[in-house]
Amino acid sequence: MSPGKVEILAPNFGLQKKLGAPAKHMPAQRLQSADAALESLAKGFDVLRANFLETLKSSTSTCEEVYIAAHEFRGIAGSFQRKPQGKIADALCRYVDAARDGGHTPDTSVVNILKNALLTCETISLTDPYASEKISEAACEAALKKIDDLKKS
Amino acid sequence: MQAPRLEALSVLIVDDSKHMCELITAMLRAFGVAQAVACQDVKSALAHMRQHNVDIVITDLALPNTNGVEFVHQLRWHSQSPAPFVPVLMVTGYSDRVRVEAARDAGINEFLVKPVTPRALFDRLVALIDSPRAFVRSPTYMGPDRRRRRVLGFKGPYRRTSDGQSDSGDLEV
Repeated sequence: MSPGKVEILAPNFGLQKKLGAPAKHMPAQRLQSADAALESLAKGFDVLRANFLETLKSSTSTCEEVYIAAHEFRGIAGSFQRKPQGKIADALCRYVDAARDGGHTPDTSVVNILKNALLTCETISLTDPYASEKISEAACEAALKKIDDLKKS
Repeated sequence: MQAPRLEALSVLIVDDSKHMCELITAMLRAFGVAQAVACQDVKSALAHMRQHNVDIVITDLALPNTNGVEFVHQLRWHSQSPAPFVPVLMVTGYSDRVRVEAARDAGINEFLVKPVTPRALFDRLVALIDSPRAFVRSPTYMGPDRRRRRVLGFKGPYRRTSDGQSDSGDLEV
């Protein structure tokens, strides 16, 4: 390509052609089937969640064990009505990543704050979703601040 | 009204979380997609793409070693790329502006912020399949047209004050 040249290729409708019809015409039952499929995975998620909580509660869990468990939990928590907890788990992973990237050992007190916030959310999320959301926001904000501090140091 | 043959679609999921791969695969299968393959990292994803036809890539942003943005950049730019034009849906827990813009500038087609739900995933697939965007190839960008809005009455070639500065008037469309 010559310098400065911009090529604009027309939109490619090849996939729609391959399917023989617009994707939006997918029968509604299939969307319901997907909801059911998600439902069927809930049991597996419950096991994952229970193991994660066990790891958080255990006094012998290492930071690495907490990180690995949080990493698996964070992505799918929201799909199973555990969004605030997923956000805290994500903040925990991001904090540990930032600490390690900067050559630091993750501060146990920060990890503990996030662990406790997550456990609190877990206890109240079904009875008081608003409070759970607020705790999650505050915990994530605190983690972000710590991440910023790490970046500056 | 004819139903789309989603079973003809081949989708590659790239995510280091096996639970997330399982979740997306289950949703796709329920939609009727027969070929949904999951890879845990970019290296194995590229290896898979060299051997199989992939219609759509669904990738996580946070991946080990090479992240999702770098992966898309490789797909779009690398001379040995197995599929530089493949539609890419990026799934991520991050919705901050910096990350969204980085993903957009790397050449992703659609963005899906977690939590992943069947409806949200379906809507993005519909956008990829039914509303494909023009593909732009320029010295600094390769990917779907980033302009989603058409401004009525727009007259000039540029929409931003910085547009075209590096091209010094050599814009050829």
